[in-house]
Amino acid sequence: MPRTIKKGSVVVAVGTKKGGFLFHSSDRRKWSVAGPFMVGNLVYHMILDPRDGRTVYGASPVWSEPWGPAVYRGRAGETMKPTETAPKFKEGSDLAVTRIWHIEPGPADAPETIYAGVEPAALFRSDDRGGTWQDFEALNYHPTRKEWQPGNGGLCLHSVLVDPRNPKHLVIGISAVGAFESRNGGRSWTTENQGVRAGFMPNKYPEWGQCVHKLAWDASGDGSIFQQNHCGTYHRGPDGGGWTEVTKGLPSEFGFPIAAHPHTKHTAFVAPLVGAENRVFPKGQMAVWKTTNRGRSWRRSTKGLPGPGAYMGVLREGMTVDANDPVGVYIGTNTGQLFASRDEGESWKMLADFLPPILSVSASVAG
Amino acid sequence: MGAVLRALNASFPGIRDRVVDEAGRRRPYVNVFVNEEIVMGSLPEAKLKAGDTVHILPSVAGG
Repeated sequence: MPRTIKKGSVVVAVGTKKGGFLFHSSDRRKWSVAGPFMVGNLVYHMILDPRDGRTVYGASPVWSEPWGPAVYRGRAGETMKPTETAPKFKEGSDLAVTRIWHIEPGPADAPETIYAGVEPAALFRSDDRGGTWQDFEALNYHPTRKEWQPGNGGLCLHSVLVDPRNPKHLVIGISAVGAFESRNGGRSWTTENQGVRAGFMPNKYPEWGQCVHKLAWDASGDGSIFQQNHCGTYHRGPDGGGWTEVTKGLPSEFGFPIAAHPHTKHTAFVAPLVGAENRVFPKGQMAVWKTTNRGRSWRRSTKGLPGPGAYMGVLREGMTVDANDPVGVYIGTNTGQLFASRDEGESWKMLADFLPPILSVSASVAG
Repeated sequence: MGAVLRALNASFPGIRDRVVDEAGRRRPYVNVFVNEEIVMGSLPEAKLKAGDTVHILPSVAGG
């Protein structure tokens, strides 16, 4: 670890339209920034691997776009380079990876395993830190695939949940297709969209076709999940089955990110926007909404956030939490402002202005 | 051209993936020229003869 990022510091990895940045602080009051990394590139997602606190991964095309997608890897604070190979579909499938949207660390006891969610929607796993990749064939060539249609952001697999209790339990989310779940390490998958609305379809409650925007484990540790959807906010209980819509109390049904509290059960943060047709904060006031009872009620937080007159939005990877006590919450806007709360979302402070549009925010502790 | 890309990849591992995707299609913003003439059809199937000059160049594009 370079001396510039101290061991034990909170590190917020920020992927932007023009490179990635590492904001770091030992007290979450005074912040420093390292970067840019992957200079000039669209960085769809950037993480500091929480398992070692040293390895940074980035999902980004090589040299912005022309040379195709890559997973970048490097030690925190140092130059990042594309890994030996990028995820690829099997030969003869006629599918080709165009973008990598999300990188998810694997289980704690498999420190070299990472997952990648890509466009067109597919899931891949690497067991050697991105050197080689395995294709989840039962999902990537699912019988329903021929009918999958892209949403406005593309046909992207953007959410990957790996159950910390059982790494064979996986849940993924695909825009305009829905959530799928596997309990056998990806050998078979079920659609998991019961109770989730697809307001843009003739059948409002189809088996699949829902536009999931982001998924997050509930800290209950029993398999419960939060979901922000194009059409509402949802919570699913520990035994699977149907989702319960918990949009009531929020200013709209539309938003992108959802971040769950890492320690306190049934607690999550969302950032609702006006709607699909106007993806900015309602009334020009940036706000984060918090629930502590799995969405039965919500409370709005604006202290330290801009508005009125703040007509910007937040993208699906644009909000995250750290693991400290009290928990820190971080949110980045598509107009290049980064905000942090170190009191669980009660109040906010701007960490950076004038960044390029922010595509992703994630937090870990430097090792 | 397919043979050229494979040979190039042997010297510079990974470079083929930057020119064509896994289905063999030329990446949309990468252009290949043979003797300064752009290759418009299937890249792996393009014919070459001894002494030809090949340029691989990114498009002028971006934002």
